[in-house]
Amino acid sequence: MLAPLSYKCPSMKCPSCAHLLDAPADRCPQCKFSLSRMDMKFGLVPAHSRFLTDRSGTLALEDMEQLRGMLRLFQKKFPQALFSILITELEAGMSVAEYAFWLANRAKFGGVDKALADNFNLLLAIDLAGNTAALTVGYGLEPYIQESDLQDVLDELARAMRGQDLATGLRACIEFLTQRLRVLSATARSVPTHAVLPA
Amino acid sequence: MQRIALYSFLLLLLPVSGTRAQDAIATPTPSAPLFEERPFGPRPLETPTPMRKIKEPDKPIPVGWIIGGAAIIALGAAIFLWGSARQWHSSNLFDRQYRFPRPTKVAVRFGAKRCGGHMASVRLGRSKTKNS
Repeated sequence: MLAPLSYKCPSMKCPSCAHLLDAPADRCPQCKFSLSRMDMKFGLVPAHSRFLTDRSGTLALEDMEQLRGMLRLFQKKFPQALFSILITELEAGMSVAEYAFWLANRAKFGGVDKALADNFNLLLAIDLAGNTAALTVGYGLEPYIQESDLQDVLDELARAMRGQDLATGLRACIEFLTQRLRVLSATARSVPTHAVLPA
Repeated sequence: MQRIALYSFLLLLLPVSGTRAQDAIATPTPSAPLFEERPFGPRPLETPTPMRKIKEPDKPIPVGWIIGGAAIIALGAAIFLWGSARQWHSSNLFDRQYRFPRPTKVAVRFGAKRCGGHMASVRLGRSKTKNS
């Protein structure tokens, strides 16, 4: 049986100003946001590792090992997707959403450079200086994961971090995302695989 | 002089007679044996056959205890099952894999080839949706 035709790709928004885009654009018509502008803003790609990078030095060594193990297991379950986490302290005035977008496009977390529809990767960027976090996905996952799903994952992170530490929050976040993606993977088989652009 | 000779003679005779008396006293006399030899010992009395115990009626276990025990067992089993299920899910015991179909079209944005900025953000400490 065919899936309902009303399925659409998620609405497109500018990561910087959240302006709604009617069609794909090289830059945001409102704030002129683009990847090349972010290159100028953030400069060189920071040193990072495949699964977990803590540039702030907040996490204990054993927590990092445990979290890396969880992320490895995540990739075993979802072989297409690589979930990477980067913890940093951005300078004042820098947006974690812009940083996550730029990093997801410029950093090489996976061994193979996956682009466009083949990119099912996820990136969680946490800015401890600004106390903010952003979760972004590659083009491949866009038709299946709504922004509300991503928001739920981040809310779980914030909720778990409220009473506990960062490591506890990250563990809860990984578990929650795993559960959510498992459900979304089951429903993804019943929807068309092409992303229909909004009219 | 004669007296002296007599006393001397008597003195010489005395130890001889004393030794003889001692010899007579030291001679062992046979006595009755201390233990009477009995190769098989005294015959013990026969052990009486034990009487069968009369079974006393068991004390009934209070109903509250039974209910409490059952509740504890049920709770323990539930916790065990919950833990097992959680472990099963988290450790991916059977190497189950989940996949997403590859989209045939993508809406490329902002000159980015991997990620078009489909995201959510949050302020840690209090939840907030940036892109809404």
